[in-house]
Amino acid sequence: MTLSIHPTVHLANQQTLTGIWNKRRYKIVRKIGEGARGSIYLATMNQRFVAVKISQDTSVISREVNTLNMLKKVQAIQLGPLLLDVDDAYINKHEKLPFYVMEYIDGVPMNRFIKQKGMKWLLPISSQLLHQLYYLHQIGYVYGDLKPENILIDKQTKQARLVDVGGITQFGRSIREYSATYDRGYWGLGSRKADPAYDLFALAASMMMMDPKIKSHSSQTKNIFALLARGNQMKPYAAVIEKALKGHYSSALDMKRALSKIATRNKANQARKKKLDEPSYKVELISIGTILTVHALILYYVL
Amino acid sequence: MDTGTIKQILLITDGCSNQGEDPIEVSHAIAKKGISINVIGVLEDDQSEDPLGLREVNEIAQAGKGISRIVYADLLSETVQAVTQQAMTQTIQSFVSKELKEIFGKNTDEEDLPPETRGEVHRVIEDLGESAHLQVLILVDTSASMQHKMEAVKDALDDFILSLQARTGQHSYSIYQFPARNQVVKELLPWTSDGKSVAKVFPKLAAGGITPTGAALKQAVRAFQTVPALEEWSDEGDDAVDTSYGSSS
Ligand SMILES: Nc1ncnc2c1ncn2[C@@H]1O[C@H](COP(=O)(O)OP(=O)(O)OP(=O)(O)O)[C@@H](O)[C@H]1O
Ligand SMILES: [Mg+2]
Repeated sequence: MTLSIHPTVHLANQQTLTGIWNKRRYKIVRKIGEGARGSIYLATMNQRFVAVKISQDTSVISREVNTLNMLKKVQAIQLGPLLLDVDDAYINKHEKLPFYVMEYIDGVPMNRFIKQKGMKWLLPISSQLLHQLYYLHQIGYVYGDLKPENILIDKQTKQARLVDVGGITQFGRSIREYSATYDRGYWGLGSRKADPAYDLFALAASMMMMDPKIKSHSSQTKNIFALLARGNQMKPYAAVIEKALKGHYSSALDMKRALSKIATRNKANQARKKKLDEPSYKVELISIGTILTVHALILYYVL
Repeated sequence: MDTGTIKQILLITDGCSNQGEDPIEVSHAIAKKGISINVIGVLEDDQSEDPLGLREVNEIAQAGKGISRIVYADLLSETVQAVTQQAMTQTIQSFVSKELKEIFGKNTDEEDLPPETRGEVHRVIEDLGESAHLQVLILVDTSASMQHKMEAVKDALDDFILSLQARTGQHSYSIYQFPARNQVVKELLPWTSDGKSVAKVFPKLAAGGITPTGAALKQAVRAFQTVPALEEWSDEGDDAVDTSYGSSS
């Protein structure tokens, strides 16, 4: 056991991985990610795209596979990528390594997505994430390493997906995989013991970092509230973010409801502005439309 | 299964030892007592990722059955946590491997089991890692060259204690510095689990002097004796460190 070496694994494009136990063959297309715990490759299996995570560190693969299996218990929604296969393969004549295969999520990380498509996506994405976190918390686990890079927005469905299950931790245990900026311990605002508020803090911090001004100042202060105040783009959400940073939401649903109120208010404000500009005979129609939109929005965010 | 107490030394240094005993040999002897030695090498901002002077960092950890990492000061916090965690998993893994050998016969490593069974084994390792009593002796190199890195070391240790406190299992830690005035090592903080203690010792830390890493390790390790839970630490065992290895460095 030589854990001191780096866990990343280099595979060649077009290389084939053949599972020793289950005999499935995967053709490597390209590397899609590399982190502290291993490497992720895009591969094909029978013409179908899959993602392969491979690591020098057996315990990383075992741990994440256990987590992915555990997530299958959540029937209501798909949490994390779907696990497809677990096996070992010789990556060259001498070296046998463990890997697992999961659904490939063709997506864009949240930070890039918002940069491209605009801040109007912040609420829907956060809301989707809170929905998922709620189900995860229901079964007694926190996500742990919540940060924009681990949130992929599916290009087709526009759904936020949490990848990297390495940080998922049972309530009451210690969070071991985290990133300083999104870790409440780093900001002196709480422990690293897993509880729902830990994730809500990380989500609030992730939201904040979507404001370029906040992000660029993030390493210059250890007062996250002062940092929050620096970004104009976060003004509409500041109250909710602050509450989440302070750990005042005990459930993901509470935070989700608070965000949907903001969404409703935003829409109503827009509608009111519009109303002032419209000729009077249209007023009736528009207000009915507004009421309908508001209802639709409430349904969207609350459900 | 009970692994009892997991004992580690965490050495934070920025360079090669330049006086006294060979730290690699001392490290080897300490590992034999069931204490693993993790080493973090702190780089200068202008240093390359793999400087010759820090080669010893990896060698000490290897001899000490621990983990080593060489990082710039700003990455110290996450590194301390990760290194400790990995070393602990490694210790438990080798312990579990032994148990597996008894159950499945010779030479059964976690890797030899089918993936599903491996998951079960890993669950056991995780549970032990979370619940075992963890004892970490932190040995900080305070030689002159470390002076401007002390702030980062303090932050990293503060952060480390936060992670220790989140564990379900018990923990205790102590802090030693080397070198100190007229001493090879100096105890800054005796065994404690109080999170606020780090802040209290650090203002006192004056950096300066040379780097007698081997001798410092050898002396600091005695601290494990003062812990009552350490019944297996016999006088006879202690001699293993004291036998003259000579200063081959
Ligand atoms: N199933 C997947 N589909 C598509 N992309 C993925 C998938 N899993 C991971 N990725 C991409 O690969 C990157 C790295 O993966 P992952 O975060 O699991 O690695 P890691 O070793 O845990 O990294 P780190 O420790 O830096 O978080 C992710 O940020 C994501 O962009
Ligand atoms: Mg990641």
